[in-house]
Amino acid sequence: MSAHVDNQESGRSSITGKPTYRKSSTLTKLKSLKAWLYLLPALLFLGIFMVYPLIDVLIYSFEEGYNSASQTSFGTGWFNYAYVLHDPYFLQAVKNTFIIVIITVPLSTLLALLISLGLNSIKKLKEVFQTIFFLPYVTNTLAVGLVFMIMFKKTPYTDGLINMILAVFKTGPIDFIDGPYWAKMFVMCFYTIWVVLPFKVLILTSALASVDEVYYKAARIDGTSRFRQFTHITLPMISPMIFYLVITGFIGAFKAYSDEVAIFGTNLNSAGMNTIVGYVYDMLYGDSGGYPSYAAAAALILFAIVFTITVVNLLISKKTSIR
Amino acid sequence: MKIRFEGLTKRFPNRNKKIKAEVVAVDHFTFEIPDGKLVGLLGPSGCGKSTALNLICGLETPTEGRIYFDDDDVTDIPAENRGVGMVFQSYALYPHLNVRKNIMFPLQNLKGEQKMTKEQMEAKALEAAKIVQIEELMDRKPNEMSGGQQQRVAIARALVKMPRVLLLDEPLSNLDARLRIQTREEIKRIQNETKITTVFVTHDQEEAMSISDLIVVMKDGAIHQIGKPQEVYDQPTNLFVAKFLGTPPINVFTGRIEGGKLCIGQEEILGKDYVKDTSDQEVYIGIRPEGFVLREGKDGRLDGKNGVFSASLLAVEVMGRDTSVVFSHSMSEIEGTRHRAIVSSDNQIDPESQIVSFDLNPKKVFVFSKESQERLI
Repeated sequence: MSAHVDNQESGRSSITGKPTYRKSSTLTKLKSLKAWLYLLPALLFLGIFMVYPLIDVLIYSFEEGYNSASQTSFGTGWFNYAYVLHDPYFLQAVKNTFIIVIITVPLSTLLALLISLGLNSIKKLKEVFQTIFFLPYVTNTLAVGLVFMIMFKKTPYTDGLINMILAVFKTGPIDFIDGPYWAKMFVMCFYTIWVVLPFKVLILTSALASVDEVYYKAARIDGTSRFRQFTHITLPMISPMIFYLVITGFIGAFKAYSDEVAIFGTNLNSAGMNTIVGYVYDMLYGDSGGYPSYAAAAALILFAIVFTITVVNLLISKKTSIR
Repeated sequence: MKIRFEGLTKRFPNRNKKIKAEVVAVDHFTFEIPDGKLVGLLGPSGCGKSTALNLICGLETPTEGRIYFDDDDVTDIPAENRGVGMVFQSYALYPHLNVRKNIMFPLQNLKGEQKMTKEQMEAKALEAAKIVQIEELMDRKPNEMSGGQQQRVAIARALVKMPRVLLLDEPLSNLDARLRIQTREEIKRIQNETKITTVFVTHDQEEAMSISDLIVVMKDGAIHQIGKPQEVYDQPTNLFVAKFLGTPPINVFTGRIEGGKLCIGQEEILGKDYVKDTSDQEVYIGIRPEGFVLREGKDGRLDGKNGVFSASLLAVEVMGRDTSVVFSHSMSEIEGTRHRAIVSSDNQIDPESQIVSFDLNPKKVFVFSKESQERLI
């Protein structure tokens, strides 16, 4: 016990005493070495599974006709990019992806905000409704996709649930799964919003609940209208969470693929509902597969798009940031 | 603006749902707060003082009774339209707005004829900021200020629309000791300058005593005494009020009135002049720390060897201006209490002696009924 105290004492005095320049610099060197040692496992994993593949993809994208089996290529250049950018399937995929992003991200965030506001203002059965709204989150995407498909699909035997409802309003039947482009896009957006909603509701409900009740009390005493309370207190207070949802929503929607497969099956190109990630996958493994160079180029184009949009988002959120 | 309560009552359902009985937070308040005064609602935590404040501002609606501002019945007017200003315990400054915008916030809510231009609002905000002396901080955000500065901003925000009533909920509890004394003087000054009827809530009797024009002592939702600070201190109506006010606290002993004499144990401490014709009974006797007086002995020394009240000496604490004599007594209301007497510093008590004796100042001795705890003498 006393030896331990002595040790501490002497250790302290050697630092606070009169450290020479050389002594302290070796000390910091030793310290940083120790830090790097702690970081090593994480760095190794990141290096092998993140950084190396990223660099590899970059290289593939510039290698013309790269063959992964023979590890050979015809040459280097912008050829892959030129090919992908002129491929009608890719352009269709970009168009689809952008439509899904532009429609679903704002709409789902807005809907989630409305639902959370509702959930936050009710007292009875609040937990019950919260659970119901969260259920889709823990349900398998493919299973949900199948249910959607069955609801919307028109077969020789039945028009499907949705068309039966439409028939009540004297419209339809519409073939949502194999029919016109807008109908398919409608199902796609509907489904995407439905799938992403629960997480956003969860985040926004907790964000709303975390706004201190006292601000609303103060606002009420100062005669603030409900609308002004919402726009001038609630919104600014939860804006960091909204920005978080918008940014992750954009990234998630740009990377959409499994949702499309769940509804339209694996042959997305023929359904005209492919997405950029779907295109990348097809180029690697699909019927037209075996073109890692094209896949790499498409993936990097997607990366560039997502990167640009995220930077823009962050700049906007910084500008309007409250703290 | 006078504030008048008539039978004001607020009951809450019990948190524990198994208990049917309601909790009475405010129990039949009937009194009047005079115009332009600074009134302190004082009581231990959970006594309903904050509920009373919320009833005045309209955040809570009373179960029974009415509230009047002058002659206007405001009981059914929602908080938005009562025209009160409130400073919350946590200040409730909007963190995303700077000081100027925080102070202007109430003005931006005004509608119709009262609506102001931006210049008018800024001028008003500056005026309010000047009252609380924060005009140099107008562009700061709340989190860039100290607790005391935030407090001032909160007061400015409450004052900016010239409220009819200013309410402060535990205004000093989030400040450190030094700032607390400074800020309470500040509150007094602001109230003096603006002449707005001000009600503040506190559990700190020193705070209430130091700045209030009027103290309302509450316990369990009921008013125990209303009066000027000195009055409440010198003439407590019951044992609770006597105990709640004063630092160090009043010393309470069990005793009895017997044949026109006041006795603690075997000692007769005060006689007929004091007791007058109060009937014989068991009583609590409260003696303020400054009510103990040292009597000069035959040798002219103030050594605590002569007096009508003897106790076991525990310690003598010298505090410069005066001396605190710590003692215990077998007839304490709560056994083992360390009692305190405050005597002048020119005493000559021997800290080593076992026993100390005092005379008593009858003005500082209060007698309460053992049953009702109401004051008898």
